[in-house]
Amino acid sequence: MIGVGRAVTAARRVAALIVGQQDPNRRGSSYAITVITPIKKGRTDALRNVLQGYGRASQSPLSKLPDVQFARWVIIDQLRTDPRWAPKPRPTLKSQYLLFSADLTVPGYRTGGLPDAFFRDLAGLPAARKVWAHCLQYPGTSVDAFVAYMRKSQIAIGLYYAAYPDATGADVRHALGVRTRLTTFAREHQHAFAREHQNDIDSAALRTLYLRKSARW
Amino acid sequence: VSGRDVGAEDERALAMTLFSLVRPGFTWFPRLVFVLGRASSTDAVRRLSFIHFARLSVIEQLPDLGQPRETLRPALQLFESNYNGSFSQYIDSFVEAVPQYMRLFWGTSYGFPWRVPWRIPLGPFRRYVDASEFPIDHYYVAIPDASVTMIESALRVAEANTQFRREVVGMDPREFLKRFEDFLTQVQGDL
Repeated sequence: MIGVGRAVTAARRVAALIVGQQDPNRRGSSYAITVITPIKKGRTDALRNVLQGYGRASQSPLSKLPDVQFARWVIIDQLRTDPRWAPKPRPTLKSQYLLFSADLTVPGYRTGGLPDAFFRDLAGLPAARKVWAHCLQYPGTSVDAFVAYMRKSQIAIGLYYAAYPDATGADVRHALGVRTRLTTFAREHQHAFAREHQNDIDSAALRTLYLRKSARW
Repeated sequence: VSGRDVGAEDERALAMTLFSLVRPGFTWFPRLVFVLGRASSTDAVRRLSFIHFARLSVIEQLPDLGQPRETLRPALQLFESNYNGSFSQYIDSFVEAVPQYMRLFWGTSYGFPWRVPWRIPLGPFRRYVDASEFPIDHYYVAIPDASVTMIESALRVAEANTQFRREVVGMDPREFLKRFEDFLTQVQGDL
């Protein structure tokens, strides 16, 4: 019996090595949220009006959540199949569903709190009530109940790819700003690099200027 | 209505949401691909330099929230991505750069164009994607005007700039000027 126990432990270790300990919803400091909830009967059009009424970028209610890099709401009214290759009988859904997915990136020290910390932030948006009130078993404004509802509706990801998994939205904005300002700075002061103009005064002034300006980039 | 017609685009960023039907008895295959994919590096996907984020999942059961019980036979495979460029460029690049991944991801799904096993025909593959794609009802992009390449370049520049600033504090002015020229040469490909 001891031999069997050891073999099972060894097999578990090998499996853990192959599969990896990492949660497949995560890549670095990024996390993939995928939630599917059934829509109440007869509410699909009303829900679609709510979703399509939201504005883009900073006008979107999701812009209030700083960890979100990308997100979408998709109404799954029925499976899409092409009659030329659909299996027979053609598969159909009995209900209509709402898919919500988001790509979050948080500072490293906050990754442990996901996804619940995000669901708590989401619960605080008036839009969360306006959207999920059209879905079955929406628990209302209780934050804990909403987190449990989202948890129950979450779909596990098989494979997740993130091009810049450790850069938060704030990091990306900052980096884009640094790039623009450095380009401008280099263009404005390119004369200082012409060797015939180099002297200690120019060089010292340029160094001071660079250190002063770049501190604010 | 295709997924790109309703709200799936915000400046440079576009979204794709595909549900495909996995042939019965083959759900183990994409799951195996996912396990191997998680264990391997992402260099191949990185060749597709226009993808910000992407995810794949096999769904055999939908969350039970009191709706009539669904029997997902066949199982669903969900693919979602956020990318920049155009739909045509996206599909063409996929087919040209990583055809082996296309076969691994969708080869066991109904409708994947297998006419000849060593080549994925572009037209039928586009039609397959079109037929499986869902329209997006609301799409949010935090930084809609930046492509993946711009973001990756900017992150490299910002990191190099932080490092450079640390090195030049208190440096002799002439030495600073020389180092600054070297620094700009180092990052000029990303500016």
